[in-house]
Amino acid sequence: MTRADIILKVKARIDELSPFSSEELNPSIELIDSLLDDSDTEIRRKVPVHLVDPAIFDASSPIDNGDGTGYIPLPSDFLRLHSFKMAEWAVTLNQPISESSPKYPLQKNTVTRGGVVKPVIVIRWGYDIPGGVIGSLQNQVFIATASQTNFIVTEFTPNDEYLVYLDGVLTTAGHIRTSNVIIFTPGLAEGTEVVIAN
Amino acid sequence: MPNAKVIEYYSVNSSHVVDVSLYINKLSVAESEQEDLIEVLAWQCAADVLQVMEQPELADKALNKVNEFIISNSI
Repeated sequence: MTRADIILKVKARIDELSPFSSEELNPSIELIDSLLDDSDTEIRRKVPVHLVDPAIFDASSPIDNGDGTGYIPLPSDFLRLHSFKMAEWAVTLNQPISESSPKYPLQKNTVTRGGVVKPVIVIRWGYDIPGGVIGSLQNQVFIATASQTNFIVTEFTPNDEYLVYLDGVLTTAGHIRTSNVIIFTPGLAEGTEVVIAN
Repeated sequence: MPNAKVIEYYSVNSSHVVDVSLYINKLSVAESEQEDLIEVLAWQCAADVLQVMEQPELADKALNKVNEFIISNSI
């Protein structure tokens, strides 16, 4: 159907409702045209998922976290998940959880996280990392105290490919890693946001 | 700054091969919408237009049509 045909349909639906109005409604083509694409996005977000023809996203290169979990960047035109299944899983999922779900913290523990029989998927925001890797899911945020030099990473184990962002800027000089401690020389200014990622 | 959505999976025993990866995408133009959703799209757009025209009661009537479609097609 052409865009003009859809716009005529919208006008017809408004005409159907007009007897309920005390004034004549005659929206312009331009107004309908300007809202139509957003209306379509809204519809694709809220109608039952089985009614919408799905598209395939590229999942050929999952990023392996090395602990049985992993993640896949989603395309920029992603609205909703239709279905997802890893080859080993017993079931296909179509209900992801978010980071605000009470189930999300459970996924950080090898005992309580989802497995191949009862898997769990999470849709969340990742991060662009210079070099083309999207979605650093392991990171820890610190706010520096005055002249602080040592930052002990406790939420994951950094390796030689660790990344440091100071106030949002990737910073490659002025720090070294000793085990899980990132050491800055000289110390940082008070209030500096330090993100250590892998 | 976060700027890309990802899907995380929990968990696998050894293979990180994906079997099924389907999603609902945003269309760049509404005329690409599948034919069987055009009617409900027309009602949604009518509701949005009526909201802009400050006709909230009529907009609600149009949204009711959308909701009727959703309910009647829910499994």
